[in-house]
Amino acid sequence: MATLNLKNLKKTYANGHQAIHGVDLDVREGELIVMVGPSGCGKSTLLRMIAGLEAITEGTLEIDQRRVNDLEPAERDIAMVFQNYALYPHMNVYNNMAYGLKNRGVDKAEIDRLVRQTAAILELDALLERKPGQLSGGQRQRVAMGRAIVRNPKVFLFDEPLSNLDAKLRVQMRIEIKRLQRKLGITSVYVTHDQVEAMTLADRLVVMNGGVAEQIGTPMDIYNRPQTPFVAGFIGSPAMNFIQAQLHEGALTLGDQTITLANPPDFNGAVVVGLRPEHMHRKPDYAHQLMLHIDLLEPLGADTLVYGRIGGSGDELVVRLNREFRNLDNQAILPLYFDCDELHLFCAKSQQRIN
Amino acid sequence: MVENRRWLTLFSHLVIWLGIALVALPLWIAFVASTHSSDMIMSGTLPFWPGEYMWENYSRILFGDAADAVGVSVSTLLLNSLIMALGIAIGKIVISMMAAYAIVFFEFRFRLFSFWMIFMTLMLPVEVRIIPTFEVVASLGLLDSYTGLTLPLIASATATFLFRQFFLTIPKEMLEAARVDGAGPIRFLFDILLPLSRTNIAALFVIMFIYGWNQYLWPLLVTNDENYYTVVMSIQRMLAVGDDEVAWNVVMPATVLAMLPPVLVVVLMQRLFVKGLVETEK
Amino acid sequence: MSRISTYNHRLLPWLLLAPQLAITLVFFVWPALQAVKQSFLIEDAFGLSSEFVWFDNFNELLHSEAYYSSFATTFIFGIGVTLLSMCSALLLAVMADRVIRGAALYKTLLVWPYAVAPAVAGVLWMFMFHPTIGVMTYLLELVQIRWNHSLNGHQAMLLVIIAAAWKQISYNFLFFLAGLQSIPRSLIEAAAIDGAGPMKRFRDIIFPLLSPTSFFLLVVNIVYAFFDTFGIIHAVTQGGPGSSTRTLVYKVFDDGFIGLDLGSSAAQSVILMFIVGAMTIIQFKFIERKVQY
Repeated sequence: MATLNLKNLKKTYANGHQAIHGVDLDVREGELIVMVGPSGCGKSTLLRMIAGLEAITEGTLEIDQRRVNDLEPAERDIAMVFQNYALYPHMNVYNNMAYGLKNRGVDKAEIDRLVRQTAAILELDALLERKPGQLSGGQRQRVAMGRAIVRNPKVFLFDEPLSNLDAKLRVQMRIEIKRLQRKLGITSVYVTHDQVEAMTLADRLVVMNGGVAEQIGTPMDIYNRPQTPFVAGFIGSPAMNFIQAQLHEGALTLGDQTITLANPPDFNGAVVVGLRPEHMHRKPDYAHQLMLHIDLLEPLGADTLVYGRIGGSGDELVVRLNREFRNLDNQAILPLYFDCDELHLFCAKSQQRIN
Repeated sequence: MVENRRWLTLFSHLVIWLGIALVALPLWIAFVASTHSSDMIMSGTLPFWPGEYMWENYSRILFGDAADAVGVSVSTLLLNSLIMALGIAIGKIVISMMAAYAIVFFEFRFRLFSFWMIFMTLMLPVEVRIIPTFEVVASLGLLDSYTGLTLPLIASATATFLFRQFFLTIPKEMLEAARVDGAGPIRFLFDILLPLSRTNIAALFVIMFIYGWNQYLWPLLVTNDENYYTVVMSIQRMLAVGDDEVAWNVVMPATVLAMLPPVLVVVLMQRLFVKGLVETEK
Repeated sequence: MSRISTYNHRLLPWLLLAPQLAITLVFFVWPALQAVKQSFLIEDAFGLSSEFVWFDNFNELLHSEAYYSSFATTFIFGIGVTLLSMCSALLLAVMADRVIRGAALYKTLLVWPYAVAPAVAGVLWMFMFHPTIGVMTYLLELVQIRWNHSLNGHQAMLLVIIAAAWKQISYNFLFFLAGLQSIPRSLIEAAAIDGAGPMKRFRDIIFPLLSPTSFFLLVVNIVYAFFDTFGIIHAVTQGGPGSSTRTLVYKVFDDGFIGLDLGSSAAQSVILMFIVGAMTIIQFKFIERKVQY
């Protein structure tokens, strides 16, 4: 078990491109941190900086209170699972797992014990003599995990480890990874672009955007109180609706209607209003109402997604309704109800949360 | 093919067999000639089938003196050819792999410069710079030595490019995984890269062995001492007898023996040979 | 992200590159520069003194009929070898692609001449066409053709062309066959459904689709004929009779080693280097778009 501390980490490439603009993060012992964001947001670069595969331009990286900026990957006592697994194709499963231990000069009997023990945990016992080419995608993934686990590192790093698997296997492996991580209690950093994976795995989430950690927090925290429209739009599916609006003395003007907020923030001017698709309801048990002009229905079985626009504004909205509302008319105008507690208000200028 | 036209298929087979026969004819005639006595060959009416002098002709050139023009046995010549071919093939593979490894997996100044310098060798085949190259080798005292026969020929842009091309197809994560596993550059080369390159090395070896074995002009230039003659160049020496009669019963078995090793390599390792041929042209 | 992550090491890459670079410098770059230098000098017959003469050597070459005729010889030789070996290889490859049974065997039986040294190939054919004891000479005599390549320049040229083309057939065959086999079956089937017979299909579908392979082989064959056939010429005709088979490469050797005209030989080397350079660039430019195997 180890802590991992990132202090104002920055990365600038030789061509002047700044990929990481100063990230601070303190990972507790045994914690599973998920870094999530769209491609190009710098999440992989940050992970590779932790691994020692990319040089750190500025800032300090500590593993277990020890500065490791200038150490080779092998000296940092980390293990990494790669997206394409990067198994050595000419070595069998046993040797793939043993290679790192051999390089560290662990003696043969001990290597054998560790490899067999790890193989047992991952149910790889029967596959030890096989080469990677003879394994299925899921098995390869497990070998990649085994190669990381066998070394009993201080920190696990996962670089989109599930993105090469099909949807069903992905869910299965996701659960397995979480279970293993809990069991072994090893501090982990996990990178993914899949927000469902991020939400389900993380103890804490780091939402990255443009080389900056936009928000760090528990999944529910981030779901409930996103700090920026970017975070709000990235977490949750379907994505949060955004409506341009005006806020004046606690009165919010949305298209052709005005709502008086119960707990108004101290702010006047242009705002971006965020409202999650699942927070608009058919039943009139909520304080506020808006009229949706329906464009399109997408029945998903359990739910129905309703696409439309609100009167007096061009903003498109998507609403998630329970199945009993599937018999809706395609061109109807639908009254919808919501609570103003579930509105997310962001300053249009600074893109920061204001309520 | 699409339609089942029997006569067309038959015709195709016929054309191919005709082609094969034409292609093989010189080899067959050489072999037949190598089994007859000198008199029989000189009579100008060579039979179509092998004669009874096979053992005599071959054993004489292999273990006795090949011909007055050469003065050593063909087994010595074959051994020299083998040393030269192996030296060139192994040398090329070793230094090209090292160079490609440096170019692909290391970041250093003048990387591009080194690359272009190696590329340039493609434009300078030995045939077009015969005399100055000869002078350099002579001034280094490498005439009549195995070093002189092999060393100047082992720089190879083709092999370097082949390895470079192959190394570039190795996912970068492979190197990263190795670094995380604590493998330094040398260990990565021997533990990961070398085993992964096995078939490429073998394919290249086949091509380069043939290239080395078949060298003609270079050994002709740098050897004066018959103890360093190779078999391919010696055949010309055996033919260049001025006004004397050519000893065809020596030349023909020597010719057959000169062809045999590379032909066997190609036929027995056909898959690797074809792979090497296609890849070195990329 | 960078294309490939690399090791950071100061000395090691240079150590790895050192052998290759050293050999390149000593045996390639240095001689090439020597050739350039030499091409501006005239040495006396004993090599005792030399004089800097600017472009005199080149000038002399460009006004020398022998040099032009060597160019012409090389050209005829190159075209002859390329046409003969490519056409026969294409014919065989098309036939081999047609038949399903025996294709692998045919391949084996056709690839081996690649392994024969050019000089040895020359000797094989020379023996068959030997003026007094050759099998072919005997057969030609039956149809009233007198063959003696040591007297008849045209026959000498024909002989070296045949020998050089013979050796190159396997190479062309392999690449043509690969090219043919990479043509999607469905295209040929579609053409058959459209009513095109085998000949028409070859002309309208297969041949156009083979053109990248053909062009590639064209360049390779010309390079081969120009530069890799020294052994054939040297072993079979020594450039003769007269100078009827004296190609450019042979002339460099002959003028330098036999004629000892070092300045002229060096100037020819320099010109050849330019030609090889141009060919290499053409080859590489083309390879960018080269067909898939």
